[in-house]
Amino acid sequence: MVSPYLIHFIVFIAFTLLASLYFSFSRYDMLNAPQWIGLENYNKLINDPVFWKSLWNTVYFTVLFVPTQTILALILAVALNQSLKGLKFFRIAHFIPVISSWTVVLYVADAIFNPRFGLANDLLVKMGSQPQQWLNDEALVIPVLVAVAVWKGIGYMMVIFLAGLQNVPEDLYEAAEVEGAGILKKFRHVTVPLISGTTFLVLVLSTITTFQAFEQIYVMTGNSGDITAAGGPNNASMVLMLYLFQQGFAFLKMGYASAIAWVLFLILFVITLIQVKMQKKWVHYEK
Amino acid sequence: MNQKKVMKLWMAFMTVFALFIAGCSDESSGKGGDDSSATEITLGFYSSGSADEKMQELIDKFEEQHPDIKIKTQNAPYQQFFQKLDTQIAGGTAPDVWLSDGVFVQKYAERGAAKDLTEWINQDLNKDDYYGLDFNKGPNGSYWAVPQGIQIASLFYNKDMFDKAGVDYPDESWTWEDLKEAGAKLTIDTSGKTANESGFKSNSVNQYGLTFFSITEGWMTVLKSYGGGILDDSLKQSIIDTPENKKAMEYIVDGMDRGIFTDPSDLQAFQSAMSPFPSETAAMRIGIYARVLAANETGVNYDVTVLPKGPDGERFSPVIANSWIINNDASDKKAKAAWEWVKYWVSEDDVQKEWAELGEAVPVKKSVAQSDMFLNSGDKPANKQAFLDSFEFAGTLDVNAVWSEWVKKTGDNFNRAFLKEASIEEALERADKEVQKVLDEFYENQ
Amino acid sequence: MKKNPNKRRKIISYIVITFSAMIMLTPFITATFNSLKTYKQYTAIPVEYIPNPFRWQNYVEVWRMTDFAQYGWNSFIVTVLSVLGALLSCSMVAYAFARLDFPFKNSLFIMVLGTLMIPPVVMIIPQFIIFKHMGALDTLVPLWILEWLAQPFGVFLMRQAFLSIPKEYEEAAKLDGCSPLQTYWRIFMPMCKPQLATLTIFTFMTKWNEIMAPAIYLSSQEKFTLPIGVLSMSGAWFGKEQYLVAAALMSLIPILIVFFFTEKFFVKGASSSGLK
Repeated sequence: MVSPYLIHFIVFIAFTLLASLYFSFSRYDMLNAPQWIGLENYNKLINDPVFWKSLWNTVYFTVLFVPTQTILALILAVALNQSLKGLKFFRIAHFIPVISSWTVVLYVADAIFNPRFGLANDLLVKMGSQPQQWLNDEALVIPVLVAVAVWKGIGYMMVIFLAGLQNVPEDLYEAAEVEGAGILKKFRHVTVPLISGTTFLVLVLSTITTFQAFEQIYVMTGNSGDITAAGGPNNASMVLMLYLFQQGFAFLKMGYASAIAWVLFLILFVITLIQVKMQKKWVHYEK
Repeated sequence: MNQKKVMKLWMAFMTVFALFIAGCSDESSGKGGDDSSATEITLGFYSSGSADEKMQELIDKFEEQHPDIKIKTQNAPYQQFFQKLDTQIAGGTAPDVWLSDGVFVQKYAERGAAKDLTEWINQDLNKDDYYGLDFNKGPNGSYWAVPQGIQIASLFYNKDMFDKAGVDYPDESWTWEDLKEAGAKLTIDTSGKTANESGFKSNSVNQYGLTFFSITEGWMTVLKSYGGGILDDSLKQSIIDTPENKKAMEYIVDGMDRGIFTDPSDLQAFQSAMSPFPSETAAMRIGIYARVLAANETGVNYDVTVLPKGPDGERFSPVIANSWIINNDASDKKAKAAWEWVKYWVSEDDVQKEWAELGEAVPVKKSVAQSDMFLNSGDKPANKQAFLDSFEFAGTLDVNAVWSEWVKKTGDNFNRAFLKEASIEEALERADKEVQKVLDEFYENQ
Repeated sequence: MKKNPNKRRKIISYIVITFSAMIMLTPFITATFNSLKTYKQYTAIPVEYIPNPFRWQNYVEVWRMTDFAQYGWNSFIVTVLSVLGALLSCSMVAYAFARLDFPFKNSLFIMVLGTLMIPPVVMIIPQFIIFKHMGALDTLVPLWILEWLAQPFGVFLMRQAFLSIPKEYEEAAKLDGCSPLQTYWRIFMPMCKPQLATLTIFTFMTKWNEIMAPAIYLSSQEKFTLPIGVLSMSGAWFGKEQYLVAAALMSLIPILIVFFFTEKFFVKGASSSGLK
């Protein structure tokens, strides 16, 4: 029964991995055959300030994004996990950003963060503050991107949590109530332990996907799909995946890009190992 | 036992699947095979809306004239086209002949993907008949591509705005300082004040004096007319950190600071750097020829003139020769067929005229560009001669194999200066260092 | 006694949800208004929120000038085939990992986790070469076929789900004479509807919204999917960029309709758990 995966693995993964590993030790511009240069790409990587900056940005983005989204999604899921009037409307409202492509989000988010006519600046000015440059501001670009990413992704996370919450038997809550537990206590002692499996899944997945996220940044900071313009201003929103893509496809340094990819892979591997260790500690599986 | 069954089932499924895929591929590769006498070539070009139809018409005509050649087209929008082209070259599936943005010709040439066309050009084309052949010449004198259409810049100005502000139209006597002075009178904020009046708010401008964008229609033009530039003649050495460039940058930053020129974040607000002029939010722009399309479409009342002079009377107009490149990997037979296409494109008057009608580029063939058909077509701008006059002081954008990469490094640093996040000195120094590094890395390994 | 905390909880919930729904919807409403303006009004400051007049012809123009129906159909094909493939292949592989014994099971599973972490960009060039040899360039095949070969995310997700199913069910099935395949199909699959729904949604969204792969594999305009169809329009209308907003919102309409009618499956379906 694992054969589909085996085919997948052998044909599409093992082969491509070996190829890319080889590229990472080569000078390879895609137009000519790769040329073995040993560790040169990795050496260059260590001394490349943009690489370090994009690594930092990636971590910053992830650290800002994952907890924010997880906590907010959990709160929403708990709020929605009951019979409310208009439930359907609320669920749809939270799911519209989820089903929107980044191309759609680009223009929808612009209605808010456009430095000239966006809603955000209009409100700021009306409240007497200074207008901001948002995506053009080196300090604000990542927080704005994170805000948009949370806005887009939260409905989906909420659904995962909702599915987890609905597996929590109602009688447990009733039992807790009999013991006089309030909302917060019930949340802490009934909800959280019982959905820790779901939470773990959500955390692992969103960390990994966030580390590799780049479509959003590519679409929202690249001038109409221009890969060389993406990651601005002045590399303030340059993340590893985008840097890798830019080096490989825009500047034809596939060897260097492959080296970045392998470093990224190693980092993700370590993170996952840590998460798996943590899982054993605090996830309560239902017996 | 049961596991084996499942395996078998899956395998059977996969076989069907593989057959299905094979079926798909047969369909796509079997098309040209029936007519073995004809050479089929693939022609790649980036689409630009209405131009696609015209391209197809010209291809149909070509096939009529050359019954032994069949053309298969492959087109995509600009960004996607070039992104895919690199993957295709890597995979050996690139078109036999493709249309390249002029700034990418050297990228393909120096990496061996473009066929050296020197011999064929010497043999079949009279070089004096065409604009732009030399703009694609490599450092060693070989020709790598043949221009498809020429983009050359001049100064666009909105006549209505000039009339309303009572400012004289620009002419060939203007310096960049004159432009800024006039621009100040044409820059109006939300409360109706111009950039010269007190109380003018440079962060809420409704009408800009000049829209200023990136390299071609922005800093490169100013830098070069101030006597500066980015690379020396060998195209392997950065000359960014010079007093000339500093003076030019001071001029630009001051213009942006006063709100007369659009800065990089103003442009982002307009969704597209191309839009302020056609939407009548800016009185002037540095524009390559293709910009007449948008301006004509929105019906702006405008004209063009040559770009202003620098402080020492020097003038510069950036030129980009978008060109046909023949794939270095194409078989002899296909390369020859592709060359027929290129010859057909540049030398046939009809083709040149029909393409010129689109108003998308200055025709490559001089006789067509200098004819009434191009100069006095009745479409705006009236003074198209300005584009042809600009060839006298035209220059390329220091295009070499790592053009996109050094443009990014330069642009990032310059933008910091434009947004006042770095001083001009700092920006020039850093850009110089970073660009030199890019150049060294590439050329030391050649 | 019991009703009071429930009522308070409801009120708080309403406040939280209404506030958050507003945040969710305001950008769409503002963008919809933007799409109905002239460019002048679109970029005007001070901002004019309500279009004056409502230019519905913006949408007509976009529809007239582009190949929307074709893009939509392509997106539909890619998405449906991907979802089917993901559901079948991931659940089968996951079942094997969760319940069957076979050699190298653990090392294989670690590889699944490992491949989850491989940045897809690394594989673009080699995969491109593979698809070239399959003759699948400029077809929709590369966009969905990998989903039929068990993507690691789905395997991981389904395995977590299968692991949480008590062994007793399986043993009961065995007593009834079910083969592992039957157990998988009749017992495990129905019990994991929530996760299957999640996998459906996830695959659906990824594929429907994918940008990179279509940009690389598709070259003919008539094969474009919606997101790159819309992206390819930027640059088509200088000085009329509000059309792009209209185009983007138009690309959202088909999926919005589908979502509206299958909302129960999308969201509530995820809660009709086999565990109750």
